[in-house]
Amino acid sequence: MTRPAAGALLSLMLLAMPCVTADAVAQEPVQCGPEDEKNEIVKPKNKQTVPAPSPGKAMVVVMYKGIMGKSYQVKLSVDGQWRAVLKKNQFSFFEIDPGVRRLCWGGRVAKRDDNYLLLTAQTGRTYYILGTFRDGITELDSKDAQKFTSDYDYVTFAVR
Amino acid sequence: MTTSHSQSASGATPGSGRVLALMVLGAVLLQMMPLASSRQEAGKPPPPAPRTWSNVMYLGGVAGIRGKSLDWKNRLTVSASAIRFEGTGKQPIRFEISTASIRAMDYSGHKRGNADNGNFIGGLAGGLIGSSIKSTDHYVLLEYLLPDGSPSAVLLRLHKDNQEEIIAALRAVIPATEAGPAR
Repeated sequence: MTRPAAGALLSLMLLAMPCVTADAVAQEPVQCGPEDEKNEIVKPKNKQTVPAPSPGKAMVVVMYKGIMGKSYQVKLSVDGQWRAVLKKNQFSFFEIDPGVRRLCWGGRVAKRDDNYLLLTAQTGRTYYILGTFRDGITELDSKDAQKFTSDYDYVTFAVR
Repeated sequence: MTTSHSQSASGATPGSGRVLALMVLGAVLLQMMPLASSRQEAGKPPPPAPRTWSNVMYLGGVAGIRGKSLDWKNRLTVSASAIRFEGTGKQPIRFEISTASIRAMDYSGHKRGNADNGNFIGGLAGGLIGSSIKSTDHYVLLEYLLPDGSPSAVLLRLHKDNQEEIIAALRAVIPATEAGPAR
């Protein structure tokens, strides 16, 4: 290897070093779903109302209040698994086990601390989670949530 | 016979002598125990005084409390008996967790920057300006038990200026055998 070529290679390695080290030490407080998982949103034909949770379970209803313009996929994970995939003005629901559940808002949203939420789920209860593009996720009371679920479209998703 | 006589004269048999010796030894030991325990108390460091910090965010978890509090003006007080959070705003979030109920503590430092998304070009650009890391977010997760024995947890975001002090204060008050390893 010539001396200029070796110098160029060394420079490239030195420049790339911060990238490698930063990834090695980065730790998220809540694990999101797998980054490489591709999902497809499925729209059922019939209007859906949120059912009561099954015995021994709790229910999560998630709604996405989008912004003007093109809508991209956003996702909600529970304990490291994607459980809902939405675009703007859509909602979904799913059951979870009671106990401490770690929620992460992912997909085409900015990475920030608003994207994490811890939930101590109790049997028989329904938790309403509102997601936004800018402000991450937060929990709503049922009265406020019904405004969204009555206007938004219910969707599910499939893994591609 | 002589031996027997002398024993009866003193009013004690060989067995009762041993019992008497044991009683005296027991009494001496009983006398010494409070002294030993008070010496131990004296040697034990006093519980840390309560301390309060601002610049703490609440990211959910406490059973029965809805929402988050992302205002840096929130206050966290750590004392030997309890961890108290006082939020700000129109509907401030407030809660208190008994330190005795805490079962684990987990700290995570999440570094953000050009390389956060695994972007090689960003990493190269960061390298050119000296560093790819812009900031580190500090999170602490406390797992604790509710009065009925069921698990709960709380996730807090700490500020770079107070995270070391708060982590140290939490470590000082949380039951040592239960605290999780710091990451």
